[in-house]
Amino acid sequence: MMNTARTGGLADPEGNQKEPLVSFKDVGLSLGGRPILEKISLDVQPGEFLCIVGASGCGKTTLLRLVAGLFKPNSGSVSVAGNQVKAPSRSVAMVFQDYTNALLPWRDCTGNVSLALEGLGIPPAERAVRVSDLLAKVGLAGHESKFPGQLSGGMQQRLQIARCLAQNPSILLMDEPFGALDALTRRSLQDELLRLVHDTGVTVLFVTHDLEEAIYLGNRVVALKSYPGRIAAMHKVDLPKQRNHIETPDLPAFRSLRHELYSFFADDHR
Amino acid sequence: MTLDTTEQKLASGDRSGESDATSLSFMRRFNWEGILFPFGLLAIAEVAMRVTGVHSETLATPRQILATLIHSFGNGVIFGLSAETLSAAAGGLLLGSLIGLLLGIVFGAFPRVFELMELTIEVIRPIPSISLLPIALLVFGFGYVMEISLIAKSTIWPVMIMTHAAIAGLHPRLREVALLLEMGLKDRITKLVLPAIIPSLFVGFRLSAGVSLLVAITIEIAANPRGLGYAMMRAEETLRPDLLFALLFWVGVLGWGINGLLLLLQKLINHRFGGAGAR
Repeated sequence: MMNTARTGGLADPEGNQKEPLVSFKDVGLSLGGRPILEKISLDVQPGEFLCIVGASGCGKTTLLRLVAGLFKPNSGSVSVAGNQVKAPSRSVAMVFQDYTNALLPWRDCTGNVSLALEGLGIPPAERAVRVSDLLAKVGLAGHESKFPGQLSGGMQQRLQIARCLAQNPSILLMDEPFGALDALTRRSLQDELLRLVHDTGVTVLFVTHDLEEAIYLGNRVVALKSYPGRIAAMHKVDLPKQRNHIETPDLPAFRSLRHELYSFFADDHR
Repeated sequence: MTLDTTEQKLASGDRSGESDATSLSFMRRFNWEGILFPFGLLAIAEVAMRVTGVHSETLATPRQILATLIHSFGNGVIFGLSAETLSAAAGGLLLGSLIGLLLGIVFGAFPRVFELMELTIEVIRPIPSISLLPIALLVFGFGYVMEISLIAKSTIWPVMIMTHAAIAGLHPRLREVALLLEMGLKDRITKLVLPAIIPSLFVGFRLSAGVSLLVAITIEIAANPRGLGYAMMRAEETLRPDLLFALLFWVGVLGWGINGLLLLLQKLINHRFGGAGAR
């Protein structure tokens, strides 16, 4: 299903002449009378990998929920592919940090991925092929009939990613997806995510606390500040398309951006 | 309320509500001592009663009781009595569980309805079934329907409470997954809600099953001229302590068997729906 849209993944985030895929226009949101987000204006280009960083409670997750249609803005508008977001849509997938709650413990890996394909009128035989392709793609081949409770945290998160890819989304929202994983697992999943994004050409909005993760994965890093949440800084990531954990963090561009982001947030906490 | 509250809500955790300590004894090491113990007690009773030469209209020796039990099996009487009691218990259990399931689903899905009905329910719930016997007799007269109605009244509650709690405790993430996949109401119920609540629901059902047998026999002893309970009363009135004790013993065995069966089923259900291999 996926390899059709090779829009380059990391290659071409700069095409500003293109129609933005996601567009926030002066978005404000308050929940229970408290302002959560204020004056958010942001365009995300197709094929871009946008990382959103900020302190806890600054509205990062809310930003994703607005794109997903799980929240509606009080003012301004959020649009996807030119259409205002009114309700959740299958073309926008969301990977949650708490994979244990997002997966169905009574379904095995095949069943969990298949959930996203049911009710679409796909013949069962074709569905089975697609499910096993997806599981292989996220490195879960051979684990098809295992249940989430029998998998490690990293494998469960791969499973959730496979289910999201099964939706064949144009936008993948990731809410601190690797936050609950150990450092080694996180690194290998970061690399696999970059590969999957490259293969599918999906546009990613990735929320994280981890500044290095944001730089390593993103084409662009947006920094939010809190109370109310607003865009405080925006950085392009000038790193080569091919990245790896051994050399990329040593590149001058990586180090200077890391320096900049760390001092930015250090000021914030003073 | 911060934005990340949903993250902080932990999973409702152990949905089975049952520890492994209640698992079936025959699934563990075969427990010879535990089986020999009651037989030892019976042997002591037999010897003691023979030595002291008890001749009583309220007691019978274990040997007499066993003989009567075998005789009741031989002429089939005990099967008929058991069928009467168990069918009433099963009928009441099914009716009560169904009502409890519906109430639990409605209360879980619509908290306002629960707020409206909570006081009413909480006042009705503690009324012992047996104290409603006079009303049930007035309405239904003697027989099957009266017994079922009272059993149903007692078996509603465990299923209702467990279902309500399970639905109220569903993780918000499931709802979001359903929304993001644009699932319809039918799919949400059959693919997400029901599988998620089945382990809790079954715990409620098992508790209700125990109650149903208790209430059935109580009603038969108190008023209804049918089943094992009534036969016990007859045995007492006709000075047949051997028969009375044989029936009592049989009721115990029935309850033990039913509970064992349901526990086994519960284990299978927990394994299937609670995350196979996870516990």
